[in-house]
Amino acid sequence: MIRQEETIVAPATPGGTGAISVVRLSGPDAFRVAGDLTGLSSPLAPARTLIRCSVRDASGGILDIALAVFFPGPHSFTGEDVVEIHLHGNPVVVESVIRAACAAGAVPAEPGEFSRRAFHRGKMDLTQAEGLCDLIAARTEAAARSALRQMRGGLREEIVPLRERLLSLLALQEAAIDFAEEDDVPAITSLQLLERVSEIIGRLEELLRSYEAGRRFRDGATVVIAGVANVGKSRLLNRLAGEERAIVTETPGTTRDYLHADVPIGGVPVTLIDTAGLRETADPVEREGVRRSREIVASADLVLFVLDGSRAAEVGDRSAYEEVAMLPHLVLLNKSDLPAAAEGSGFAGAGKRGALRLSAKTGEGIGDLVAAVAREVASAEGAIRAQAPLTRARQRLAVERALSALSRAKAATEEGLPLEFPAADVREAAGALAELLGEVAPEEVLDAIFGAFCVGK
Amino acid sequence: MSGSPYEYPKEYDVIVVGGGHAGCEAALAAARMGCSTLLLTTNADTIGLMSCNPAIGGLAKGHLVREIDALGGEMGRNIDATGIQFRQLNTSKGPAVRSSRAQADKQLYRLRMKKALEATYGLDVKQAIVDAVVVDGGAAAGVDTNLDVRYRGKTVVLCPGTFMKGLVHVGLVNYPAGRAGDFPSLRLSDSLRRLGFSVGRLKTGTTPRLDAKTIDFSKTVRQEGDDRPVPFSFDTAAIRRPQLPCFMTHTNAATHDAIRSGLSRSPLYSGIIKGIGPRYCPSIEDKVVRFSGKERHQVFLEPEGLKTAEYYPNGVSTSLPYDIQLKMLRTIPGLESVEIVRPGYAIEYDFVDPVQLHPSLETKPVKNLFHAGQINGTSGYEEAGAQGIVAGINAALRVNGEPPMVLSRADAYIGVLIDDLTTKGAREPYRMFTSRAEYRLLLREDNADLRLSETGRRVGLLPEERYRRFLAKREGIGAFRKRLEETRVGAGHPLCAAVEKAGDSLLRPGITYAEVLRRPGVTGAMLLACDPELRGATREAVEQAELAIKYEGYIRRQEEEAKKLKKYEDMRFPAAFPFETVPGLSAEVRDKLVRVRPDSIGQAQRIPGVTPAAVALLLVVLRRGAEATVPSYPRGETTG
Repeated sequence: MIRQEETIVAPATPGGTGAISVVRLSGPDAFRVAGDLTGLSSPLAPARTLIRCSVRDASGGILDIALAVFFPGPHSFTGEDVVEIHLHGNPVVVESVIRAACAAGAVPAEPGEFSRRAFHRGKMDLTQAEGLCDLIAARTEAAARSALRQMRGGLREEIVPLRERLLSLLALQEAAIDFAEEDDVPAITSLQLLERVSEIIGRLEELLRSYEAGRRFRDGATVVIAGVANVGKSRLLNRLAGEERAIVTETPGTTRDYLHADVPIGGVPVTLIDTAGLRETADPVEREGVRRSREIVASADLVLFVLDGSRAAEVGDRSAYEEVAMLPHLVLLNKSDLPAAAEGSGFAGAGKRGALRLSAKTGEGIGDLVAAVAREVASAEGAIRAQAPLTRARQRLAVERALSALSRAKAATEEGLPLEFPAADVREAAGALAELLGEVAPEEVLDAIFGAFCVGK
Repeated sequence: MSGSPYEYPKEYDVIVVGGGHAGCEAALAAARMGCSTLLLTTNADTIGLMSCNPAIGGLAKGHLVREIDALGGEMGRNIDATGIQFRQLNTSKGPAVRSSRAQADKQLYRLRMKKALEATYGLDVKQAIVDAVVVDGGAAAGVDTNLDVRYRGKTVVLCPGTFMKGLVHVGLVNYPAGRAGDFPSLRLSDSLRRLGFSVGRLKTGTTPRLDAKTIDFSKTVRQEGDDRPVPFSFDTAAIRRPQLPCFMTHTNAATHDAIRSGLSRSPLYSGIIKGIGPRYCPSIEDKVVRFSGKERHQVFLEPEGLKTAEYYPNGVSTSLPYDIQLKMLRTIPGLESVEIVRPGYAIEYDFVDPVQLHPSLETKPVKNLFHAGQINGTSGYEEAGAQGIVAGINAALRVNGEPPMVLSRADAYIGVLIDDLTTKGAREPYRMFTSRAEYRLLLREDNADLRLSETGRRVGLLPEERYRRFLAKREGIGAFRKRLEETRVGAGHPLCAAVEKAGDSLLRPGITYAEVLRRPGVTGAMLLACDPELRGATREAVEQAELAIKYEGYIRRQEEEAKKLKKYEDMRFPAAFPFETVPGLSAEVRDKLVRVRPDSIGQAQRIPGVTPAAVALLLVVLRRGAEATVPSYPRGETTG
């Protein structure tokens, strides 16, 4: 529930003991509450300047010696009056100051409430708010960088020019319709229309492709280790995770349930999953494990298919491989510490780059494997696209709507439908992009017309 | 004014102030709905006068005329009866942006309109200058005139055009006038200001009028009207009047030099004119200055009527000094020895911020007071007429104790017009364009009657006979469409050969006529040519069914959008909704909401600068208010 009439308070730094902790107040009474606590009065305290003060509770008892900063709205994070009190980093002090603030009339903030207020006050648009949300939840540095870019308007910077191109195209179309009587309005030809629409379609398709890369940077990728039993899958997981996660034994079929570890690879938060061996079995418990393994494999972003390099590939290996052959995968020849007996020949995934020879036991070849996995889940192109990618289903849907409208505009023009039909499509596309950011007003179309042409009666 | 005016003994239901295009529609609508109506005009000889160009319609404006007609208004019939050149514009650009335009015989147009007023039972026309609106208990109760006469009325509709503090400019010379040659209304806008209205100033202008016998038409390009004129009114069967041509010529470098030589004495460029003029209908000096790279501008020479030699040179509206006007005109091919009958001029006038209006055109500060036309910041006869008919209908509905008629953006261009005005206000004279309508494909000239006849009938304006004809037409369209959806093409059907001949891919047997019609190259005429049994259908039935089938996908998408619109239009704020104290709004958004005081969430969304986040907040507060069972506020009540 939105309750912006209230003044909220919360710690702005994580709990625990540190050098300092910051308590933040926001709302119409922020200055008054801070005044009650610190004895500072806002008109006297210079804005956006650290001021030394003592923080006291209602009975006058001193809680801490602190520094306070006053941010008068609307020039503050939330757009409201905001006060930050920098306390000594002790949870007990923080707790007592928040209790004192509440006694003075503030209420504890709900999670994300400061950001939500910033959004409501128009301090950020929807994509920026989403970026901030991603930043807070980022699991890797690359994800954080991507989120920060979006928060600072990265996606906006992508969308705004595209929307402007659509609006200027629409202005040309509308000028040809609404000012057909004027001699100074250039008519737009079908060819020009097609060219412009195709250009924008190309750019939007690129953005849509970046959704995949962006989604991985935000949500991470799933990498599944698969192969028949006893080829060293669990040991590989442990090696990659750098700790003992899986029970590693020499008995086939030990790993009946799947185990997983979260590892950042190439800037992407990767969830590594070790599966039960893929093999036919009569044991109902193990069969259940195998069934689940198959499900997990099918939904993977990447499969690491492990062979025992110390023995020749067997029928079981080949039938297991059939289940991953159509998925993105790498073929690994494990146990390079033992004498080699197989080359991974006959496995399509090994074809391109060759099977990777490694030893989960000694760590040999693991560096190459990490590099190969990084290439697959976070391609260089993907990383570049992730500069300001779509990261949300909401954003993807809007781009898809714009794309389908533009495809219709193209088809309508090619079929020779009258100008107003592709114009309706382009308008819809511009509207879809506007939905990513705000609203599109027909007034903007007219402004574009009048800015560019001499139009007279 | 003395303390005790003469009180006219009769109390009217509706008093309309102004006899222009808005006032005429308002008075006719009110009187035809059974209200005793008084129309006051400063000059009974200028009722329905075309003060600027002698034409009705044009892009998007033709739509407005059709809508006025569909509701039961007069403008369409009036131009059909007095038009001297009819043209369909934009025929190649698509069915919804096709518009009608007609040159009028300016004198015949006004005389016929005046006669329509005079012939209406219950409608009195009187000549008077109105000085003030009489308000009693927050509601309009009549008007006072400059002769100290008080007319009492239950409702008042103000349509003063450019007359409020009108100031005519020609060069550095200026004088008060409502229009060149007419008295201004000097006191009315002060009366409105005292009542709490926000009064601003706008500017518009017109061209010189030229003497035909001094024009060499051989140097111009003749432009004929359509061979078969299409009437505006759904009432008119055919136009049989002889058609006159227009003539096209252009300005040139010498024209532009002449104009520049006079800029120092231009009231526009010397800063004398403070009012804001229309961007899209600029004066020739404005065009030359703002688009200095352009070598020439087109000028259409339009006849002002059958019995006059005056021509209207469309494209050279100006307020330059008289000598510059002459010098400039005489550089134009065909006008080398032209004589000016009346010089062009600019006029500044007072208008009232239209955000102070409800979508019914009733004012928010004063109950039972309605504003229509240029007082609301619009320009154009059609825009004026559209508001006039809405104001007249709603004044009559108020008198009868019925809820107002409000058209939405998905119903009509009239809805777009009034919503734009009441939501965004007017910073410059507002003119309609088809691009202002987001549901443009639904709002066509050809279906204005399908969209609005029910409304016209419901409010009691559209005559019974017209309505019955409309019902028959609608039924015919439905039957024809059904037939196209259901008739299948068998093997060897003549249509197969026709389609093949048109170079299209072959038809599979069993396909319906409707499916064939969806193909890009196929027309309704082709179907009719191939199947004699279809020929019984009316032209309108074929046209409507063809549009509905051919563009079904586009139409359906816009209908879905329109449904979404309706959802938000139906979320209405109570009249006394406290926009001032909604928590969490930024000061900027709050100011905008307080200024407009939107009637619905939909309208709030469309106020420029009101963010989606702010709308979300309003929704929360509105819902919370509804839950708290706040006493319901009567709609249309004033808050000030």
